Amino acid sequence: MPEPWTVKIIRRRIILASVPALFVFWASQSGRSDDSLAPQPIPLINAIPASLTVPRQSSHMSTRIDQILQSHWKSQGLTPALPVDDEEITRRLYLDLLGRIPTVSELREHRKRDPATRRGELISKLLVHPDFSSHLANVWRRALLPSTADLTAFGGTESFERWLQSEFDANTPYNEMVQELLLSSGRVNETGPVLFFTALQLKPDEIAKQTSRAFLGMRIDCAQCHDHPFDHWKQDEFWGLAAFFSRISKPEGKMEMLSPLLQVKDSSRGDVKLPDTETIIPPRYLMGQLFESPSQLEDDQLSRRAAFVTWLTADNNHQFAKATVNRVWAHLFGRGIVDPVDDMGLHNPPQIPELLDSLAIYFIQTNYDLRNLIHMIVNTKAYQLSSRSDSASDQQAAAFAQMNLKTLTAEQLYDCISIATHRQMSQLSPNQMGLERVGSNARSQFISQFQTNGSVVDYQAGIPQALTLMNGVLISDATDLARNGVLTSLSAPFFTDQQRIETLYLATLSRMPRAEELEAIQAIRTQPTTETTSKDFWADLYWALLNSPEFTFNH
Amino acid sequence: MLMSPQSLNSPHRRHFLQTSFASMLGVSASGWFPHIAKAAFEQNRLEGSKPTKHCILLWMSGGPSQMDTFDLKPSHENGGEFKEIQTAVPGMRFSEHLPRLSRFGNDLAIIRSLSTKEGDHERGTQLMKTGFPPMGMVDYPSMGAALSSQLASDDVALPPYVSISPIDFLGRNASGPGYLGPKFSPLMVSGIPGNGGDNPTFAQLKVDAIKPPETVSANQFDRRLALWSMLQKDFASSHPSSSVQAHQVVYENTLRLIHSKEADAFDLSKESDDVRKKYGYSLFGQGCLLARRLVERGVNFVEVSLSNSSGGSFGWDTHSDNFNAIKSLSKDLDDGWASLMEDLKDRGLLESTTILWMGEFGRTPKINAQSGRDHFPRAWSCVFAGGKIKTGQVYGKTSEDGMEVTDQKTGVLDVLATLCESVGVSPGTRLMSSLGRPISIVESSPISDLLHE
Repeated sequence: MPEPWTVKIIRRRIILASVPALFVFWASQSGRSDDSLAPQPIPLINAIPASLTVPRQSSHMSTRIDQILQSHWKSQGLTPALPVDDEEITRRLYLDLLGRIPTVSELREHRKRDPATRRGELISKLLVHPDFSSHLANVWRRALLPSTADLTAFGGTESFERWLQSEFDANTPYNEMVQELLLSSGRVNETGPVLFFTALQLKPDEIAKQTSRAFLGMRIDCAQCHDHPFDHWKQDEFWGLAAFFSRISKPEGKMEMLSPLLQVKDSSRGDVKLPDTETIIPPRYLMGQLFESPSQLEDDQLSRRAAFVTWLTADNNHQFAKATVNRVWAHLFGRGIVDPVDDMGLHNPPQIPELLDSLAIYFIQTNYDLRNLIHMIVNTKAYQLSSRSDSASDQQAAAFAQMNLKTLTAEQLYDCISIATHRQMSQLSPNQMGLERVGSNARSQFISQFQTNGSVVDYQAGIPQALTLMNGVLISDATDLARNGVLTSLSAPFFTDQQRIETLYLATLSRMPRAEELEAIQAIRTQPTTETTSKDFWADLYWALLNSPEFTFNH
Repeated sequence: MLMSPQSLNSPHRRHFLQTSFASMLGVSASGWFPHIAKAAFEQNRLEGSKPTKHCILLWMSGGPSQMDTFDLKPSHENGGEFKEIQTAVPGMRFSEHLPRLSRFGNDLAIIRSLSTKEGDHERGTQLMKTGFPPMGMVDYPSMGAALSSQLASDDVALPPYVSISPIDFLGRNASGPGYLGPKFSPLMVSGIPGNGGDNPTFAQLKVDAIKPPETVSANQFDRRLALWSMLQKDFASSHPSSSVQAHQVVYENTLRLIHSKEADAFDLSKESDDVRKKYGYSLFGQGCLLARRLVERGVNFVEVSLSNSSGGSFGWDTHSDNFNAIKSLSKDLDDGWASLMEDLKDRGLLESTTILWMGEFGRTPKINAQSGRDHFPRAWSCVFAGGKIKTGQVYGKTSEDGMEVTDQKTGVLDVLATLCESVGVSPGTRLMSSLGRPISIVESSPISDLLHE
């Protein structure tokens, strides 16, 4: 039986259903500058019309997605790209799902299987691979913690990633995972979800900002200090949201240096005030309704943040589902249906609203099952379109009529180099152990040099990074004849040159070389040079492959 | 005004790799290196040039003592044991341990009224290098990244931002590109300290990976590039997107750097021993020499850290034995900085080069029981030279005991806005942040008294 306060919340949700009608009213008035024309309802907790239904079955839903996209492309006069070939989709799936390229033996194994069924089998296999959870943990850690988060004194961001990894391993429904995260308590240096609060230093305003970005896909930051000049946020709405997090135990004095002994737990007091005033702001949902405290009950369970979490993850808070599916879509397609993914709102409407709404409803219907959602999306024809194009125009890829080229993230690039050069071979033997992604010094150093926080659609590295890739220790060790197992084994006399080239191509580009490439490589190989030996040639080809754009991009 | 960072990878440049597969095979492998590097260079030359402006940040890691460098209080008990020496400018007196620098009074502007609020190394460093205290979700770029993103020119083979011998023992160094992205991160120069003793040796500075490994011969590197070009061209033709073009341009520019004679800038053995000795054997001294060589070759922003002295002190964090430590740090500072002033003046480069000397905070006027001084952000000093700075003056004042600013109180933003103005970048220039809203490089106005019209 629901608690009384739950009932209240549900009642509020019913009010929300009328929002789209108000939205129409607001939109028609929005050209006018007169603020007194209120009401100005904020339709971002935009309910999806109840008339929208979607298939429950994954394969049918994939078809539905393709139908929606096809009619969109038609209306835009776009012709979709050709489907990818098997080699390309294999590499793409490994990169998107496991965060790394396949090993040569994984590829050889795959190529032996029945072409009619092997793609589907591969998808199912990758979704339960240990590297899937650790890769997803990395992707979500970047979404959940601000890039400035410093957890060095509390076990590091890796510790947070380990918790996420275990959640993804268990395939915890996403709404439950978020509840667990936002209701976590314990010492600030405990591993796990509580590090979310530690990273935000328990500050109600920081938690409000990050919570709205991460879980609602919305930026309300600007309203912290003033009413938003061109968006719809008001300063007291920002602080109204922050007020939900004001009753987490607070240290006295300066917040900058958190004591490891500090606890994240609910307390019965604590308020936020409008900056530079003494005005206490009561908790208020982003829709504008005040949260009415169950005042008679002083029970921890009925804490402000518990009320917020219930509101956030309620099935009829469609914005929560929309923000999540949009993030997953951006992970797989390189950009969101709303892009950037944390900037949803009236000012930045979805490119294809029906696509976003359908995905959100499907996600809710399938009980917030991320693995199911990803499985469904990678099975679409749209995901399996080629990234090749004749023109430099961005239009096709922006409308998902062609796969976006995605720059490998720092983490992916390091892991791919490791796989391609067999640094991690031992961990990837037939027993299917995953990559060890945390705790490597060399890896974190590399990541700090290559880290970006922009869109994967852009290539963001510069000269310092290119020098590292061309001349640095990582690549030079890998292409050193004496140190690299692949190169050593290639020198065995029973290999033909063609087999050698094929092995290097498979190790790096995850594909076989084409006939004209074999020819061009042989032509370069047979040119007279003074000092270099033929063994060096394979190191040179290896180097060129590792520095090539085809290796650098997920295509 | 909304400006995007100067694109180092402008995607619409003509592509030099327009050779067909067949014609490419006609080029001898040994021709690839100069071929690529030259094409990149000539292309860059065609695209207009602007007068180059430079900045050298002399970063005093640990927090330098204003009381023992540029704001001495010899008549007060807080003053400590150092004596003052006079410069050519009335009222501008330095510590006796900066004798060479004191001859440049007319070329320096001392700010004695700096007052900030961060007394922790990491937070203070972040504040002084970016202008923002660490807070919230914005990863702010360092001034080095922000200014070089605006000043960079495609004409220059070297990257626009170089950081020399930073040492991170006091927490994260805040020299990074923040939201501007890795393209604007500094090229890092690492160092091995020198030795100023009986058998002196110069500190060594090097850039990792600026040249191919020694095991790879020139011919072999050429062959690598021939193979790379084939792969690059093939992929770019089937994926003609702006990101692939950006990748290509970064590689071209990097090859140009590897191939350029400008890369010799990092080889200090090209300087005579006399010149090298003049700068001192220390990391900082040799770093100042390198900074001069980099500025001569068009680098826009060079950061040189003084984080350990050849006398063995570990930075300016002088909680104990303050005076011996500062004596030794001052020796390195004096040799390096005064020589840099001399050389830049001789070469006519001081007008286009702004120098800023500072650390993360100052030190307590009161001397503690270990003859040390502790962290003190309330009233401290920094120093400007060159560029558009009106030098030969002391700006601001502290009280007799050094505890308070009594005149012309100056905040970090005032200093950084003045730095921007001095190199010809408007402090209000807005950069697009990762949060999707534009942020001014510095939200403040320059100090007009410190700038020429």
